[in-house]
Amino acid sequence: MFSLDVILDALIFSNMISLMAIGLTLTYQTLKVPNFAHGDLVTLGAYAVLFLYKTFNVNPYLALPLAFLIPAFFSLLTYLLIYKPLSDRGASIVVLMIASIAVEIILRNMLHIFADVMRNLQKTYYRSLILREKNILLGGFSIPPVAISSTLTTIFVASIIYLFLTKTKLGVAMRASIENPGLASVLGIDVNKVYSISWFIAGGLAGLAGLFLPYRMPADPEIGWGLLLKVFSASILGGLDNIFGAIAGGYIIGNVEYLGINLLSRPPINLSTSYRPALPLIAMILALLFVPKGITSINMRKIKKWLRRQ
Amino acid sequence: MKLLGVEDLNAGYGKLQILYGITFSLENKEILAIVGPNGSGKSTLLKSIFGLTTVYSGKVIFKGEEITNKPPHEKARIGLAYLPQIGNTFEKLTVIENLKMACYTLEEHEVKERIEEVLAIFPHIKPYLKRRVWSLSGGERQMVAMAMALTRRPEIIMMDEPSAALAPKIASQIFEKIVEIRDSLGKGVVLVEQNAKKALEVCDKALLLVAGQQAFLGSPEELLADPELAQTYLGVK
Amino acid sequence: MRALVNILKYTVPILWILLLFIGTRDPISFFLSILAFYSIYLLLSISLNLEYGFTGIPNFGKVMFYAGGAFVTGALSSRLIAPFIGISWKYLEKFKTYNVIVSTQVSRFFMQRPDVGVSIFVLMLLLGVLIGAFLGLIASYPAIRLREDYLGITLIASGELLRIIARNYDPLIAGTYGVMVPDPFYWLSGISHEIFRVGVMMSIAASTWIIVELLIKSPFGRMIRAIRDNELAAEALGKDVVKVRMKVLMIGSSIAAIAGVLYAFYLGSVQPDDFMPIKSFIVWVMVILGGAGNNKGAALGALLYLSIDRTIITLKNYLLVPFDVNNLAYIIIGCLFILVLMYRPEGLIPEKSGESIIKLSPKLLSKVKKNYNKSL
Repeated sequence: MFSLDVILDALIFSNMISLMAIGLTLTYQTLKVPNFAHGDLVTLGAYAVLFLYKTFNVNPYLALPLAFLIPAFFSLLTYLLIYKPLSDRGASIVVLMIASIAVEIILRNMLHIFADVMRNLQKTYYRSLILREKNILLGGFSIPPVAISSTLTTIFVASIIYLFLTKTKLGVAMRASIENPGLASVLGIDVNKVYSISWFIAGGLAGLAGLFLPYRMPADPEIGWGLLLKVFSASILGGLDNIFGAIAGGYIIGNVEYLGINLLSRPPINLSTSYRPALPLIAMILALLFVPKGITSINMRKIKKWLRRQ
Repeated sequence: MKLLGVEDLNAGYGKLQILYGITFSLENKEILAIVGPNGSGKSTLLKSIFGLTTVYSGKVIFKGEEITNKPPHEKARIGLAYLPQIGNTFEKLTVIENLKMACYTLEEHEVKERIEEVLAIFPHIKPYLKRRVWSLSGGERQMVAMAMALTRRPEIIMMDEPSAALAPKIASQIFEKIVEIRDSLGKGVVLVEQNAKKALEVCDKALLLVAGQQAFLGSPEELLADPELAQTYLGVK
Repeated sequence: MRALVNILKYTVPILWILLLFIGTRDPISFFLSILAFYSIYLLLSISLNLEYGFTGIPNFGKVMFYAGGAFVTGALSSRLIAPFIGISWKYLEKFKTYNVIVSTQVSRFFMQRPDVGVSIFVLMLLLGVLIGAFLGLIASYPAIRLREDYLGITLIASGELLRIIARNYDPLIAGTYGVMVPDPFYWLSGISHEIFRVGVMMSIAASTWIIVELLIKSPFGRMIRAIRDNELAAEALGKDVVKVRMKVLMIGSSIAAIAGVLYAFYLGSVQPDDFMPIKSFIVWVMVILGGAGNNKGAALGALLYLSIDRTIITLKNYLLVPFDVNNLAYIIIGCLFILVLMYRPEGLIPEKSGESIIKLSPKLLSKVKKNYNKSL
């Protein structure tokens, strides 16, 4: 049905989007604002890794901690300096949204400047930058290592987050603070600290996705924005109130985009592959119209009710 | 020593002032009932003591130390507990998770002990420990909320209409528990109640709040004896 | 003090622009180009202010409606005339390859037939209004049903969808190459050409400003503000909130589309990548900076942004840095914007809070308060 290449493309992409969507959903739950700068955090992570690689010849996988930490700190800073003060002042969702768009523009342009400066002063190129790695043989198939590393990372992250949120005091406190920050603070939980940690983690996860990015698509300052709308689609599809929905949403969007365009580009539809970026957008619009609370809000009870009505 | 002192408190929400010059105090082993008509600021008063509203001026003193501007989670740590009227449990979390959150400020080794302690006071919720709170009935949820307020062994518990929206039988149980809290646990209780009659029956001191101002502070018998106040504002004969 | 600030508010941007004149070789053309862009920015600013400032609809996808007007102009302006001047369908089908030639021929035709040129201009404006209203109507469906954050994302996504289609569907505006737009005023030349067309643009912008001002002062204007401030109360009073929002979006979108038409004609070309989401943000900068909820704020915001924009273009020639000055400009605008949001969210010209029917003097007010307290 689908060639191995297409399946791997879909898999790796789904992993990336899932990692990003977890972070987006997490920060959304804290302040109820979609963080438009989230896409560029991925690029930031990617560039951190690429910088070490190009300047000091460090293997990108070894740069993983940096890929996590730099976007994590940036994300934390934006929360502490901009979003929290605005939210404390009672700013509306609209104001928080346009603030995050402003942050996005600032970050993206900073990345452009970085790429330009590196080109002019250091003669290193950070646009259309792709990392190449040798395929490895696995079970008779030739597979790019990034397929394995990204999948393992996603599974690992998902498990850690599950354990964190259910088994640790801080994790349960995070769920509590997200649901009812007033009550949480009254019980002695420092909600601000909890939210700060959420924003830190979310940024870090986006950075991790950035680690895998240059192996599959040309790294470029603009790529974060391109991914952002897809991540929104994934988070919305999964349900913004459910972190694991983000993973489900990520996989749906990843597959819709790669497997979907593969299907649609075949006869009889013969859609041009340059329409690929449109698919996640359409998926999101459909989701908003028909399942606005995300697929995780669909449960057996509702389906049975609906069926009974027919 | 005075457990809690409130001096000339003026507070509200943003620019909207609700409370004007509230002054009272609370001793150990005392139940203070705050009564008054709807919208007179009773809930706001509890929130203001805890720091959840905008305080324009005045002081809140706890065991001799001024705590007016401490953030809410700090106040929780030093021994105040606040049980809101609504949104007093984490509905998406399980009962045991709720109780653990209520024990957030305690040391690890104390948590197990305290939870067992509080389950002894509210044995009704024991079988529901692993259930999510949204699946419980109103009365059960209220019990979870009260258990959460008690489990930390706070010095003061401030409760906002704990018996509201509960069946009369369960409401009576709640009032019994409140008396139990004062008597056997030796706490101070600030109780906001719409059901003035019931509240005045159990309390030691009464504060009547009308339109954000203090209309009466004294013993419940005095309040009930004053026909104008009791009749007009509490609907009590 | 306040009077001084008020004067400064208007004079600083004007002086700023005047400073830019120093660097230019041709002050008159420069002046005219400033007016041209100001008219476009003003229209966009009015449009968003109407939707968000007055009615409370956060339209994050302004660029889509702007593009609507521009794309229509790009797609149709030369195609409609071409058959009449004998250009065969062969050239119209392969629009991508031949649009430059076709447009040039059409422009030359206008030289002989100014009436046709002007008619096409007017026709495009009308089509723009229609397309804008249509897109606004479609957009109002999610606008009413979705919460602001979902709405914002949806509108941005729709705008991007439109851009992707325009990029890939060649017959529309020749994909990524873009199309050339014929010049309806080709029958004029030299400075009178510039003066005339900029004059037309400014008149359109000014009349729109006046019309929207009148609209705001009318009962309709009061109603939309009522809906913005307290939707529940407005509904309780029998106002059909859904219909009103729809109307406002249609009007706002039409205005944005007109701006798009003017832009297409002024620039002489239409390219899909000229309509990126950042343009929507820029309109927000104008509205927030100037002050949401009043048309003077919209006018000032557009003026401020214009000053910043032209400064950057001028500085490009003087600043020697190893990167594109545009990037730095956006960073500065972004930071400025965040500062405004944090410390002066009402903008430079705040909306006057409620023109009360009865104005109480302070003495009278305190008397009333005393009596009220006594009765307690």
